[in-house]
Amino acid sequence: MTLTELMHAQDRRGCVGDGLFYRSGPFIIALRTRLADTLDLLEQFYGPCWASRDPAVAHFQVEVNSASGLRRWWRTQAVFALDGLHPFEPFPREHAFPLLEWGLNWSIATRAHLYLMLHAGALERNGQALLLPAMPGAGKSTLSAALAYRGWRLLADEFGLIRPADGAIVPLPRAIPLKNRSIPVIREFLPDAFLGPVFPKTRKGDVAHLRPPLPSLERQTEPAQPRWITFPRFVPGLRRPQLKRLEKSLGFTRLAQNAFNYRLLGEDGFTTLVRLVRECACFSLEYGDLDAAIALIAEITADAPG
Amino acid sequence: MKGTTPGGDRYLSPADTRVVATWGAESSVYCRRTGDTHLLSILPAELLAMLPPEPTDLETITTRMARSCAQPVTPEWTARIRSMLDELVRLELVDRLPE
Amino acid sequence: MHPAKLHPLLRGAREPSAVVHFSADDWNRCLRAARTERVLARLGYRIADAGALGRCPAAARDQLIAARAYPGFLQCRIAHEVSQVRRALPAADGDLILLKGAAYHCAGLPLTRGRQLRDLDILVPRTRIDAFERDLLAAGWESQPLDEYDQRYYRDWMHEIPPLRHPQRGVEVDLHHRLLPLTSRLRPDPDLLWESALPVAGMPGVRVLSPVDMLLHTATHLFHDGAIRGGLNDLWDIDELLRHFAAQPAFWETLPERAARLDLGRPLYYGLLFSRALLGTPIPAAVLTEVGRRFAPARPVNALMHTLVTRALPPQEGRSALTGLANWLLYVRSHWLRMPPHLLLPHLIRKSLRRLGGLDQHSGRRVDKRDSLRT
Repeated sequence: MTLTELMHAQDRRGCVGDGLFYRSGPFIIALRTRLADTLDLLEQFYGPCWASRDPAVAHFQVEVNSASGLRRWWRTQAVFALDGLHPFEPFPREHAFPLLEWGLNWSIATRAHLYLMLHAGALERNGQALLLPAMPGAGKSTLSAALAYRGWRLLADEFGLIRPADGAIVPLPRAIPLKNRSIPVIREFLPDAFLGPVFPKTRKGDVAHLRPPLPSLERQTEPAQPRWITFPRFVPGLRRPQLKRLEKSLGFTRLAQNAFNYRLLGEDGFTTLVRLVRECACFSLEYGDLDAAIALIAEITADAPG
Repeated sequence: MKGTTPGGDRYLSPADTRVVATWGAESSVYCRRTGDTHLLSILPAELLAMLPPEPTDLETITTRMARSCAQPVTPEWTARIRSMLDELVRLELVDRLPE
Repeated sequence: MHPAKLHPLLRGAREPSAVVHFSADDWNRCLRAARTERVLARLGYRIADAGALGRCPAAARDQLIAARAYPGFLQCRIAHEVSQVRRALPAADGDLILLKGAAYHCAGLPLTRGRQLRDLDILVPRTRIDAFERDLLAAGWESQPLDEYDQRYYRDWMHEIPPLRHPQRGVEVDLHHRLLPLTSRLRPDPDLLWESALPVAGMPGVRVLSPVDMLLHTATHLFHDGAIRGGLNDLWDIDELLRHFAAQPAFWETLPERAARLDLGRPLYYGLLFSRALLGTPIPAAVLTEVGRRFAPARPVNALMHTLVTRALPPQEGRSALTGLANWLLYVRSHWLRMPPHLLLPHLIRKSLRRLGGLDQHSGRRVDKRDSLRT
């Protein structure tokens, strides 16, 4: 059953009790919430994903609800819990959905050590994948979002999950949080894509979520083989994008610094990363214009990498 | 004072303490002892690969390195190899046994 | 306690192949508790050893395997710290004995797998402890600035010196000169430990406690030196040490007498009792009888401890008033065992004053550590 079917088949207040189980990429999430607006948004963003009311073994047991205690009487707040513990300070009540998304990302980053986790966007075409590793603010989400609506399947906008056993990228397509200036840029670039409400003044500024294209949610359990690694950097006003071939030694070093858990994985992390870099062509890309960047990426990914 | 005369100290590098990936001129080295990863340029990488697992004195190492790099053994060359070895010792990729 | 009523985590630990029959709800409770108790990876190894990992649901298997990474990372870090400590100490300082996790790891005991190892605990002769400290300080370790009360607390009443840390690596190194605080009610003689300590292969100058002493120390650490609550990981150590050493000749025969000699009979009794009750550890009936006869407390105390510990040690879901009471009583007991009453009261008062005043806000990690030492 999909999340949409489940929400329409049942009284959604039923989710209060034992919770709701749904799939995001390789993970099963057990969610408890009494917040109707959060459930609505969840359905809008993850509608085609598998979901169930019957208990399933979950990777993450999370809860997002309004804060209990005295404070709720003068300022309502939302709290996130993982395994019954509250790793963060409460958010304003109206930011419950971004809190859930952020809390889940944090949970994944701190626990999903079955994978080498790169801080990267990832897209697939004809079974071959492009990784866009970058630090926050480098325009990785914006570029991933744009490519996802220009012929590429979105695998992930935040987590490049590399499976050590075969080097494949395991998809984790999630609502793409666009920040501040990216919101109008994407609104103009993708006028038909579904963009959720703007949450003003979160910790990261204004945030609005872009829904991944439906096929990428429908195919979220299909991995892809990485072939290209491009380190993007957004440079405002840059007309002609600059693409440079990157030495593999440099690509390796930058990825080791970029990964969430490279050090923690020890030798497995090293071996997995070496394989990834051997199998991929590495580039750096500076861009100021999405169309030009997409065209350039199409050029370098047209042929098999050298 | 230990190791003041060249050839006094001996060096060794047990192969099972590291994993190496070579990228053209440079190599990434994972050190199992520390969990650190290092990027080595061609000369230290060659030195590391050449070091035998049994203790070897500086003179032997210098001579062998000079041969494989087609270099004459000069005092500068010896000093260079020595400082490279010191750096590899600091990274714990190489052990130094005092005389 | 009837096994069917046990928490699924305990059921999985007792009979790892039975997890293949777990419901999704059992699994979710089990995985969550195993994380909280820091035994998720250990449970995974146990299930794998029983040949059942492949028959677990994928989401459970993912987590059991992913949980191995962090303990592996911590172990590499501690093994490296041990090598740095050895390098920093001149042979003239004499030998050192690794304790607890570092000992299990360096001695290559199977129970090290999946075990989270945070600090490095080392036993050194009391006469040498100042020299060890000086050498480590000279080699770059740093002692954290402590206020006068804390300095006195460590130097006068504890069995160790204030923790040392190398700024580049951050591992906490605790040098002990005995197993229990000087003020403690039990007085195991460190000389006896040194006499039977065993060398570690490939690490000259490094030793570990003999199997019997290692087990006694682990039991003492949980049942005499701590608040018991949250100690499932320690009980797991006891269980695995017993299962592992059971195969060694004379292990069971020498255990009770050695416990008497070291003045650690009571912790041994609790260790055997609760490891068997909660984790199903196989223990020869004759040993249980003998240890019970020689070291069990008077019947009412025994019954009370049984009630308290079987509430405080299993995973705690939600909050019940009775479990809260059990936790509190065991907490008070742990202080009672460590300090004479005239010291105990001022210390507990000072501790609650600190909590109230937030004096330790600036050094969060240290507070954690002190709490784990004291409680």
